[in-house]
Amino acid sequence: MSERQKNRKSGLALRILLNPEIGILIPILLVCVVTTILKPNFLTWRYISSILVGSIFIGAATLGECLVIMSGEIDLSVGYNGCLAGVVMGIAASAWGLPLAVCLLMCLAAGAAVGAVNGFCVCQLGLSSWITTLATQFICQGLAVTICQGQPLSIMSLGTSEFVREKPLGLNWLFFIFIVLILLLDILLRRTRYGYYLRSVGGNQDASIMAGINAKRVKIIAFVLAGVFAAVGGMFDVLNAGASNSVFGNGREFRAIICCAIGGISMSGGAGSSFGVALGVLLFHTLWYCLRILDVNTNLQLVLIGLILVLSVIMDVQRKRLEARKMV
Amino acid sequence: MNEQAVKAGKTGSRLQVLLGSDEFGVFLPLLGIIAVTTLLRPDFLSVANFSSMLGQVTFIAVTALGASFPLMVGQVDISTGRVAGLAGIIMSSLVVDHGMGALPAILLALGACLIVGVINGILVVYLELPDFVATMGTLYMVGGARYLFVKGYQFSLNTQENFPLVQIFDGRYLGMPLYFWIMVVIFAFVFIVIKKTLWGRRLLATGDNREVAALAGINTDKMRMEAYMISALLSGVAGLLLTLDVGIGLPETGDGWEFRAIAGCVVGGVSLAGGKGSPLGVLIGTALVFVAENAIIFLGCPATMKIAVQGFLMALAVLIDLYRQKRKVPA
Repeated sequence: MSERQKNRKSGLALRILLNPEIGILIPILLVCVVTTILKPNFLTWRYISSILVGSIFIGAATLGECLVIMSGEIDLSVGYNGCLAGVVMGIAASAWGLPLAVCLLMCLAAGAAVGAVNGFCVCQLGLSSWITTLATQFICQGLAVTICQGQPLSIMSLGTSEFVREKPLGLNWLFFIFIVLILLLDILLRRTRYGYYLRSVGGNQDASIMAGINAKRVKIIAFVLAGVFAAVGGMFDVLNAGASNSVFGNGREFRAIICCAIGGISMSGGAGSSFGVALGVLLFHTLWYCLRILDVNTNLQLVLIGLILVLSVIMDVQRKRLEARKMV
Repeated sequence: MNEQAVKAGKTGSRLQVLLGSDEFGVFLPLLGIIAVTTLLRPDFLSVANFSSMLGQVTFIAVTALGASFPLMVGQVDISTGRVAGLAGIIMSSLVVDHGMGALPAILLALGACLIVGVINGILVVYLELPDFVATMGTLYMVGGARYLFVKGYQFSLNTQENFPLVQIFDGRYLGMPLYFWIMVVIFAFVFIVIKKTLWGRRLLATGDNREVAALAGINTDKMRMEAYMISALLSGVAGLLLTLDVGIGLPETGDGWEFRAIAGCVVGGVSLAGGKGSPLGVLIGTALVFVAENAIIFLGCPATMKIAVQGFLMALAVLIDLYRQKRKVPA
């Protein structure tokens, strides 16, 4: 009896430790505590709100990236895809003088189109996902730079600057849009049939095809959604800066992948949750921010980020092994 | 050998073997692009244009030869470019700051690269991380570590008295710069290793089908580990060659080489699925990527589209490779 209880107890402890969401909260707290010790005024709303607001740009792209990774593929185009979408929005506003709603729609459509190309190449033509999305990354970058020609494209004509500058609760409206996106993603992943299919395709593609799931369609939708989320990230950039620029989103794909890895998205597909990803983004951005305010050498920051990526993936692999052992 | 070449060899002449080979399949578009561009813009085929391309192609070609090893064994290494930068900066830092001679500095720099290769190998082979993500981690780590050697002044190798290598690199030998000849030597070595040695056959067998290779008694873990080590080593050599050519140690040397190298490999017929690839193809493929970029600009496309062309070529090459594989192996 007592042994059974002990078993259950250790099972609970193990479950908490293995729970990705809780696994991320601990390092976030740790980073905050260390920063507070070194810089006592860190724990003020000014810093915290700055971290929260600053995390939405990578965050939006990460929400899309996690869908693709959960389906067992990878998307390297989210950074420059968002950049190109932002540039499309900028050119629609500055050169063609279109109204706000049309500009926003064109931005999202541009992102979705690139995502659809990714999905088509990967699922219909059978190209490997990283080479496809690397190619579209290059193409998006080339197009964005060519359209911009080094000049920022102002979106002042849209009259969004007031909206962006407003500060409800010391945050901004874009942050609340991001929160809504997280909730929507959570509903998509946990409450819809698509989310269920997505995880089963990522977990075991052959088995899910045999179970009658159209794996190709599931993956194409994941790529298109990733494109849309990337475009949202680009849109945030443009709205925040008041102009589109071809340097936005540089390197964001790597950061998005790192956030996914930290956030408990299994790199081999099949597992992960919306809140896990959101916490992963928060951890990554908090760390980035704290390293900056603690004046850590920028290049040492890169080293640390690489180290964290590797460590979080090692943890993911170990977690899988543990789970597999438990099943046996 | 691929099936088609074997078939052609059975039935006909050497010419048919040559025409059916993968290398020829890459060489033909290279000639085609040069011919078409020259027809439209005669100054494309000038000595000045080609010698300026040669410099770029050489360094990337050495990196690509290195990057082809993990690809042939069915893995990928995206840390190669940063490793090249690491080698360059370590060598110049040792020479300028610590007054070391050329040989120990070069050996230590290459040793550091080898360590990165070993780390990549351990992460991918023994800790079983996904190769792309693992080498992305080392990309970040090496990318940051490179700058830790910088002290706020330029590592100029030109003014160093105990360092005659830069002067040697300035000269031309048989009409070509020295780094070109070193690339040729490396190429010849890689060619012999892949095509003529048992080790090369084992490498390709591991990439083709790891389980079968393991059953045939090949230590596949060791092969994959060695592939990563060679990749890092050759990228280091490429970084050293560029640093010696320029005469200044710059930490950003090699940024972006990793994807150009992979593009060159892929265009040159190295299969991403592993098990297929030829060093000659890699060389021609790398040249093709650069010539195509250059040709497109000569034809009036804005220079900012260069990277887009590269991406398009890469996707096209993989697509063609897929198509060829399907045709060759009847399911």
